[in-house]
Amino acid sequence: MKNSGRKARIREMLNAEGLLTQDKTTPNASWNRFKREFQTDATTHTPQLEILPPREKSLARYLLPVAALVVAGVVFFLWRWQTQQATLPTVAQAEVVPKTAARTFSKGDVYRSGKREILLMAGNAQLTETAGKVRIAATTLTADFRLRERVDMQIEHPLITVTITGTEFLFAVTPKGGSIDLRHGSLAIDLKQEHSGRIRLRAPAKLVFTVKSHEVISPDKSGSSDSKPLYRYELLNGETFFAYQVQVSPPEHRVQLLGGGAQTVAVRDIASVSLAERE
Amino acid sequence: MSSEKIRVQQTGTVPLSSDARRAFEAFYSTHYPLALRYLTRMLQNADDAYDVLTHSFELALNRFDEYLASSDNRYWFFGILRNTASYFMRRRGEDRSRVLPIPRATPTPEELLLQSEAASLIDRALAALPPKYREVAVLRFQEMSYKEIAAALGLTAEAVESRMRRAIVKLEPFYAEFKAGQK
Repeated sequence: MKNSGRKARIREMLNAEGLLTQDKTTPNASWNRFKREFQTDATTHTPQLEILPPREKSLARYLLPVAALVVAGVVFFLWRWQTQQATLPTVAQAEVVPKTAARTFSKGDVYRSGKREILLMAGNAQLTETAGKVRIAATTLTADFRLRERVDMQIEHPLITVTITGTEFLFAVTPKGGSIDLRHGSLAIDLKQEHSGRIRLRAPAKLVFTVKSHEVISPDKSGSSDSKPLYRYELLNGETFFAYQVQVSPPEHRVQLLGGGAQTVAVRDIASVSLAERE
Repeated sequence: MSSEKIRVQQTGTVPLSSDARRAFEAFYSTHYPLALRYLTRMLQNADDAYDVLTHSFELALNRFDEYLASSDNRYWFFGILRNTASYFMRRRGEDRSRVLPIPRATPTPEELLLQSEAASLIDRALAALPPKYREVAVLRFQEMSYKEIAAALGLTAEAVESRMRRAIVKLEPFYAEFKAGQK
């Protein structure tokens, strides 16, 4: 009974909605009243519409202050940099010394720079200074190198390359060979024609080389010293040399030079005499 | 609840042109009544309906180019409404306890008593309907044809009728109660 009443109501509702017979609705007052309850009259008044303009993006809002900060930072940095540049010492500004033109030295010329002194006795040499580095190119040359301070110097010869950091030696070369008579300090020598590579010469010593061979002669081997002590003479005029004493008297010293040859030195010209330190 | 104005915020960077603004105002006037009825019944809460409606109009405003460019845009806004409402319902988890009575225009005390009983019945009836049947019933009761509902919901007319049949079966106990009350 209850179920049949339910079915009848569903049929009634479906009929009213035209869902039982296609395109045909059966009017039903109760159902229409029920449907109206679902309709709300909340639409009698349509509120006014207000369209708000686009908000300024937060990024755009901060863009100007951030850009101003960046510009201020750059300006400050440039100002600081310029100030620092202005207060830099001149030496620092001239860190890169421009290469100077090669100078040619020949017999009788003297090269002086600081405490460095090179006396050219024969031949000639091309001397170039770059950023404190001295390069000497020579084929035939006899020169006395008196380098009393540290220097970055290199001698280029067809047969050898000599690297010097501060020393004293007599350099005598021809295209076929030559000798380096080292009185003080040490030298690094690269032999180009031989495969011996680099040799290190320590004073007192003498290197004799030809196109095909080389020989390092120590003072003991040379036979000139007879195991006598080697002295280092420093004269008042700045000249320094190594020698064996032959005769010492109050007015003068007769000495045999390390490189060969005898010399008499007046005592009044001597600044100091000391035993040479063997390196 | 509803205030004197509905404020919609334009996004993007370029403000709306005056022509587009006029077109949107006309669009708003046309769609507001049905949209509010639909949402009020679907969400069963006047405040929620108002919030969802405002948000839907805001979305519509910021996609208004699509509406203007489309040749068949009769139910374009309805798609936005449905999506916004279903998102809202999912978020609140269809909480029945939040159901509030629907406001009505200046009733008498007797009407108020009858309406509150009727409103209670209608609210219970709507709550008994799953959302997909509820939206069909709500639109049907707003005097929309099955074809119009089908077009608005993106369904076939047969599917709409089928859902309406199922909705009617679920509404039957409430209809019986209503009829008993009428006697």
